[in-house]
Amino acid sequence: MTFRELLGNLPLENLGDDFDLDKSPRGGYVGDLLSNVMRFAKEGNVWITVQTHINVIAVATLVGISGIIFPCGVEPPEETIKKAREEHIALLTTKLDAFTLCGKIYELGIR
Amino acid sequence: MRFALDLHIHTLLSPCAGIEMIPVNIVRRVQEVGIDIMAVTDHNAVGNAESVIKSALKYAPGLGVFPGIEVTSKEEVHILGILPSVESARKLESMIHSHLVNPPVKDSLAEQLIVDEDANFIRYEEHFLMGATDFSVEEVSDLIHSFDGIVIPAHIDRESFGLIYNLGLFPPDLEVDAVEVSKFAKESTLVNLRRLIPPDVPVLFSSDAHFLDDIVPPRSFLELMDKSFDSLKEALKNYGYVRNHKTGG
Repeated sequence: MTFRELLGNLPLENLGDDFDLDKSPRGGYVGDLLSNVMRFAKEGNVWITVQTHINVIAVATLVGISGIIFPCGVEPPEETIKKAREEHIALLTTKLDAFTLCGKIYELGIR
Repeated sequence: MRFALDLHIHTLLSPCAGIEMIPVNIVRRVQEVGIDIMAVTDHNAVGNAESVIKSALKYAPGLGVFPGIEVTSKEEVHILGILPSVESARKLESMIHSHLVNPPVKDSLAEQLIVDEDANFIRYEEHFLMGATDFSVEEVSDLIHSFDGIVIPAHIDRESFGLIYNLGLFPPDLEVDAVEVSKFAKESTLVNLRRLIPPDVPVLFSSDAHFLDDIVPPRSFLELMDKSFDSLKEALKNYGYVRNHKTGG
């Protein structure tokens, strides 16, 4: 299941035209405290967070996160999106809350 | 002269602080334990700063008291702003109040007491102080600096509301004048933290006192010309140079 397929199956919105959506996340992680994410998220994960600070991209790069989905309609500032482009990390947003989003992603086979 | 500092002390205005944190108790205890300069730093509010300053003049002459505030950023990071005057602190507070995202929760206001220098009740603070603002850490820092204040991320060694815990790394564009660690931080913690923060940033120890018993003898000392705000600001600015010079860096 690629990010493009997730976009087709769930009410998600792509935050940048030039993100690579053909990557397939391997499992996922949810967390807003970046030190916790650095410790427990795994390479290839899709990451669900309401944290939008630019450090999110630094942490995603360190961990090897494949893409980030912001729940609850959260949208990151422009500088975070710009940094994500540079680091080739796809950013998506959704009106769904984190719990519902995780359940749906899990159902679609990302686990 | 060498002065002892504690730049992070709450009053009974903070809902999480004890009712005994009235101005006179604070200034007497602070002076008793050997602190020369303190800052009043309630959560997202400055309502008791002036009373503590007046109380010090009356009950603890010689004690230096600066108005301050502990701002909650949208990343839920606590950042101290120490201000040059009560007037600038009030202006900063009104900006902070208009950016608090959480409405008051039931009965919370009764715990947010503003009093005078003799602890007579003045009013309740009507904003919900335990919530977060919608300012990023960088915006909080810029805002405090725009009022000529001193920016100090609070208790960066702690897991709750600490900069490093919440944001993982020291944000590359965040401008600070010092960082604060808990008064009880171990040497090993400090060595680890040093690697995570820019090399020229001073590390201060504060009590983050919420109760009278939290006010303990100081662990941070600075060489200052006098107890003025400008001297403090200057000393923090020069700290990096002195430090680097000593270590040959």
